[in-house]
Amino acid sequence: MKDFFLPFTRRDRLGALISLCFVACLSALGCGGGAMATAPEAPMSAAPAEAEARPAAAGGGDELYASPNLGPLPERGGYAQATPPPMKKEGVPSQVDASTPGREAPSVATGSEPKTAAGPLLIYKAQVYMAVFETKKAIDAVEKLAKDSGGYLVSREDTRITVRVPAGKFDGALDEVGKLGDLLHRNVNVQDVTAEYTDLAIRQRNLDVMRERLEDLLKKAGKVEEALQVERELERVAGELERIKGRLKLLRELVTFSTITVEFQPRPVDHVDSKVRLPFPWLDQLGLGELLRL
Amino acid sequence: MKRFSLCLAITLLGAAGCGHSFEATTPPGFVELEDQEAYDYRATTADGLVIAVREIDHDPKGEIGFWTRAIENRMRQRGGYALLSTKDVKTGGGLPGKQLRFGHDESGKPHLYTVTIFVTDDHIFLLEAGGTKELVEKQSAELDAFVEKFRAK
Repeated sequence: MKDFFLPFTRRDRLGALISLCFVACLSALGCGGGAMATAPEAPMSAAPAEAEARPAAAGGGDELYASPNLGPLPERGGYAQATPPPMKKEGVPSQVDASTPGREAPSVATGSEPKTAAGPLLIYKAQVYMAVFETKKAIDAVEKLAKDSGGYLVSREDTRITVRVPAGKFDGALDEVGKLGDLLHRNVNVQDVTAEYTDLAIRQRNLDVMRERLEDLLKKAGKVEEALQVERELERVAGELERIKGRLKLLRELVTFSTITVEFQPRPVDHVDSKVRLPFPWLDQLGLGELLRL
Repeated sequence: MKRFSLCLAITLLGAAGCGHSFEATTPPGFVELEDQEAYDYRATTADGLVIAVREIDHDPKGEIGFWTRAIENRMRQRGGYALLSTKDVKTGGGLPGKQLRFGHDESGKPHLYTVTIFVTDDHIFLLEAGGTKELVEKQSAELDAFVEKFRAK
């Protein structure tokens, strides 16, 4: 190998080294892409894009995950949530993390480094429509319910509140919310983000490797031009890494904490009106608005 | 001509007498409001607790369960009212009916609204009462008496 480089200048050798490194990194990324192609299609379009305040303790974001095809990585202390809690039945989170202290120390922030995502990573979201009566009292009760179960408040308005509760307590919390007033309608959605999570974890791993190699190259760069070129690439890789880490952190949190939104208003009317509208005009005249208008 | 005039007078008197097919007794503390368009009877207290009666032709015919359910759906699903209770009631004349008690926030304040329905062969009678939660609870006895004293002719 040494003999191969002998006829070339130092600059040529460094250039060739950079090129080889890029090719190697691109190949590594290609492996990740291959894994993505074999994994089930992640519901990216339906992926939540919440920007609500999230608990800082929910994840550090600088952990490494072992990808299925790259083997386990050295443990650095990270999340255990890549292996989700076992399911007690399909579509319902288990009570494994029922003792989760909540915002201060969610279960994902403790435990050993996960090897792979062994089970489905599910995000639960519920939308509850309640009748508009004693709204403030009911909203206070929803907030208290969330905090008592180890969850936290996401947002609160006059007629709307969004809270997150530990996934293991989602069913119970939803039942309790229903007892706080006259429940008009309820939607529960489950989103499987296992494929997206796995893909992102692999891409993060590969980008970390790429960054380390680029940092090595930067140390060996002899000229300013070469150093600038490597730094530009480093910057791009670092930006991509941050974006992936942020998304992974959000997914971990959304899996760990289920979202419950309670709205105190009738459900919005669909195109095909699911609410029965009988052809009796006097029905439409009922209500306090008409009665109290003297 | 005299006969025609007599008939006309009788008809008009009869029509006036048949203006309403019910008798409503205004409870103490309430004043009956005249010239009501949307209601056949309406009365209010000085604080704004309002009672009213609507008389609707019973056409098409339906059982009281049907109309009760129709009102419940209308108020809950489209109006966002909370159904607080449903109970059987009777007029003083023994006509059975249903009373639906709803809760609803108006301008951030909790209000109560009750609709009592009586059904005869010819008419559906809707007795409504509404006001702030505090007022309705304070004068619940008068409101119950208003329903009990109601008479369908």
